Amino acid sequence: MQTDLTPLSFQDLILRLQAFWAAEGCAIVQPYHTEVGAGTMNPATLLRCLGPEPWATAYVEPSIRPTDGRYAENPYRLQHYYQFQVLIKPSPDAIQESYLRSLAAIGIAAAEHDVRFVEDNWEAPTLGAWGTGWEVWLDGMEVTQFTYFQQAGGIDCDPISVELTYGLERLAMYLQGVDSCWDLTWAPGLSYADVHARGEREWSAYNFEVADVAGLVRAFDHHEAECGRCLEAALPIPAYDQVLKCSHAFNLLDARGAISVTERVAYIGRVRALARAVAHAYLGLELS
Amino acid sequence: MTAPLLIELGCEELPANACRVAEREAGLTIERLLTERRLAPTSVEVFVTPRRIAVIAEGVASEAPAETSVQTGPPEKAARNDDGSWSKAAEGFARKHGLTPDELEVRDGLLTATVSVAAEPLATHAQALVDGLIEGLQMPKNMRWGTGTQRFSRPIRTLVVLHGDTVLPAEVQGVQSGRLTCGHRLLQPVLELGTVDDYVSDLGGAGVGVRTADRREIIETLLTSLAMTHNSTWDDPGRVLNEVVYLVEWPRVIDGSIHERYLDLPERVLVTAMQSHQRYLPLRGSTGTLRPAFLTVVNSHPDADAMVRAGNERVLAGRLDDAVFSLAKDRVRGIEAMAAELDRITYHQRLGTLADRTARLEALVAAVADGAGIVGDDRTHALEAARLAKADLASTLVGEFAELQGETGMEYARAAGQPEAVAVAIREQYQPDGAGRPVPETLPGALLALADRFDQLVGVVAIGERPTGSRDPYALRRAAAGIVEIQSRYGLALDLPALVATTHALLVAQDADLELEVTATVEIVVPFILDRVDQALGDAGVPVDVQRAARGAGQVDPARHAALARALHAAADSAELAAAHAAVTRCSRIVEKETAADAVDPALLSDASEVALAEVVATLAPRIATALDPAAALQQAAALAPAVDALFDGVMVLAEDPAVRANRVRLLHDALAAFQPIGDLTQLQR
Repeated sequence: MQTDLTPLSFQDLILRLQAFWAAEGCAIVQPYHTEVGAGTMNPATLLRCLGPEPWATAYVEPSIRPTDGRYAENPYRLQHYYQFQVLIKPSPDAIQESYLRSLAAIGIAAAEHDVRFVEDNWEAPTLGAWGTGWEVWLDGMEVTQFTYFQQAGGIDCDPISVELTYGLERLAMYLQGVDSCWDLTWAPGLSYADVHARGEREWSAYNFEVADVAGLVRAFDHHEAECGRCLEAALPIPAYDQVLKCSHAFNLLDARGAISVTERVAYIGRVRALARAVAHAYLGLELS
Repeated sequence: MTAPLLIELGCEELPANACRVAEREAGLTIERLLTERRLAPTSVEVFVTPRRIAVIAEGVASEAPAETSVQTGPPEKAARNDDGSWSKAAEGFARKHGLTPDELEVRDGLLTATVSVAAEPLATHAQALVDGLIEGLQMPKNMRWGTGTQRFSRPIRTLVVLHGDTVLPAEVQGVQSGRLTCGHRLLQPVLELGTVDDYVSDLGGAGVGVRTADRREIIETLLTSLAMTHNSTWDDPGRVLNEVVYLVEWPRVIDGSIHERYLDLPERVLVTAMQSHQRYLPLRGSTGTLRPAFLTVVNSHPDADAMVRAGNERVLAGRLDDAVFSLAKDRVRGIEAMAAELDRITYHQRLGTLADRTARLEALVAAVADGAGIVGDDRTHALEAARLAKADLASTLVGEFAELQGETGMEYARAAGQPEAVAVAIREQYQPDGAGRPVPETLPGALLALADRFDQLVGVVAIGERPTGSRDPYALRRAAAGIVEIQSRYGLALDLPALVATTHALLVAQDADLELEVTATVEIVVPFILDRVDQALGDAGVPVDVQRAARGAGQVDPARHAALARALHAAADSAELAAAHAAVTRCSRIVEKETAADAVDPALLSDASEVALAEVVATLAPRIATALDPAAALQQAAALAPAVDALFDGVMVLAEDPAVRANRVRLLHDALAAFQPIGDLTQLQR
């Protein structure tokens, strides 16, 4: 529990959540090494939720969504932001209670707030994935996605994993009582803007104005082909990295406004086919 | 001994639509399950909160009584084969009742089986009752959890099966039945139940109002009294309370304030920001204007009110900031710039972009207007509205608040100096948005709304996504019902096959990725729309046989089909319709079986009755077909019946001479065809 009245810094928020979930038996596996749009796409979630082996992990994930960049001018829309991700397989019976205790660990005692679990099901057609769950409301604000994975890569999950995704900037803004993520205290004497504003401006410019379209088209084709080669060599985990790289190339092309509607559908279909093939290969299944 | 039986499934937070299913089906399911087991209850009551589905069945015996009954089977004479052995029929009958043929008896010439069922304790049925309850609830979406195979709307974490004060044994995916349940998360996480009679009061003490109606009443009372302290009344145009009752176990109401700077926002924007997603209730002063405050229903402890209020105020302020930002951005762009961007937004991956859809809407508005003879300003305004109809889908505001589609387009069209009729039609294109909801009040709005629905229906059906059973993801039934409602309000002529074919041709011209050819599409869409007419007729008391008879007229204009069905219904007891029905029935019996000549040969008409019928048919057929209204057509048709009767009285239709015979059958065939515009009367149940 928090003992003094100073709100948690952004880094303390992460440290507390890591310590809490580590104590709950989760392996803190760290962020992934290539761009992902969400913590879900880290193989520690999307591949590990498949198959029968128990698995429990937690990690912070820098999430990259090029089209959401606003040159650091919007109080909460960013092309690079942070999620805190928890994945536990099989889903424990008392997971809701564990989650509420994790809030207490960051200074949010359920008894002092209105905490609600409001239906919100999740679906990611590009990943052939869907699940059921809630968005968790804290005094009317959505702070966490809570999902029981039912399917991933077009394969029924068995056993079922539960995924918790905390929106770290939002939670920190709430805890620190600030209206813009740029005003968050990252560490004593250091703001979120000090850490990320310049990068956000430069990346926004890069994503929207500079990224080499022809190069990205080639990169997509290359990674798609490489994914196929990895699968032929029975290396589904490297193959999955190629899917992530394709997905990121697609997102950049989208931000550059370089994808027409018909092309868009085709690109999404290509990513989905790769994700399906990788998920099946990961489990040693034939593609049906 | 009888006692009340409680079955409670303690769940993680259930979705509101699952709660509604449980309210509707849980009681009936348990009643059926108990009755099937000779344990019929005297009454059942259902309790649903976000975290539980419970049923209490009153007066349930602790044991299903032993019972002996006599079942009758095949006749005695079918009991044995010629060689004296038991027949197949007898063996089958015995097997069905768990007996051997030798145990059967003969009574009144029939084989009988005396079937005895032993007494069975309620406890032995507990598991089946729990399983049956879970299976009986047809949830909108089911899931699995943990390592099990059980499916339900959300994980089941506690199970109570209590008969009086006795726990009965049952289990759901590793959860054993017991007397422990959950109280309110904050007040009393775990609660031990004593007897079923105390269920409601025990849960009440643990901060859970188990009756939905009670929670609703508490919420409404609290809303009203808190609104009064603001000299206001509360409003719920989006009917969010229907969900809120399933989001709280211990409802309390708090207020929050809205900063003055947001009150310049359009009212609809403010109300939508409050209601959509957040489910707040706006407050209105005595003149109906919005107050700078809102109410919200919470599930928290009173001590937390200040914190909860501040949090909710901040969330709303954030949403309103988004609205202010979006409006400012949209104002700079203007509706024409948005319309120009529609080619970058997919409507459906197989049906093209919103620009494609807009082009279809313009063509369809023209087609509907031409078919209905609408010219002048109404037509021009509808066309202009179609051009801008979907522009607001490219706006930032609708991106943030999808519910504001149409409304936003109207405002932006006004801002661009469009005529009021155009602006209003843009809003009205989405009306009616459900049964009994407002229909467009302007003709341009009605034309655009019709065009929008034809495009939606035909497009979705043509890509092979017609609704099946309860699956109607594109809400096509609502779209079709909308066509019927708008038409009946405005009395427009609609040629369904022509409009469907036009829409299909537009899609084909745009290279849409269709599954079905035009003929197949027409064959699905036209009856689909007429089915909505029949549904409305049924609701208005027109029986199914009359609907079917009217459908036999082959009418493809929904309003004309409806008018015919109503006329047939009104004439149900008339002598004329009875005579026509008798005549048609007689004719069709012959025509179905016999071969008719290609055409009536007047030279072969010998009897006066034949000649007379041929003349009457020749005169009346065109009159019936072109009668202005169905009542007039019915009257004309009634005059046909006596001539048919006279023919049957005057001649043997099935004459020996094949040529004469075929000629007479042809005459009856033509008479039948003359009746056809008033429907297929053979469908009428007399």
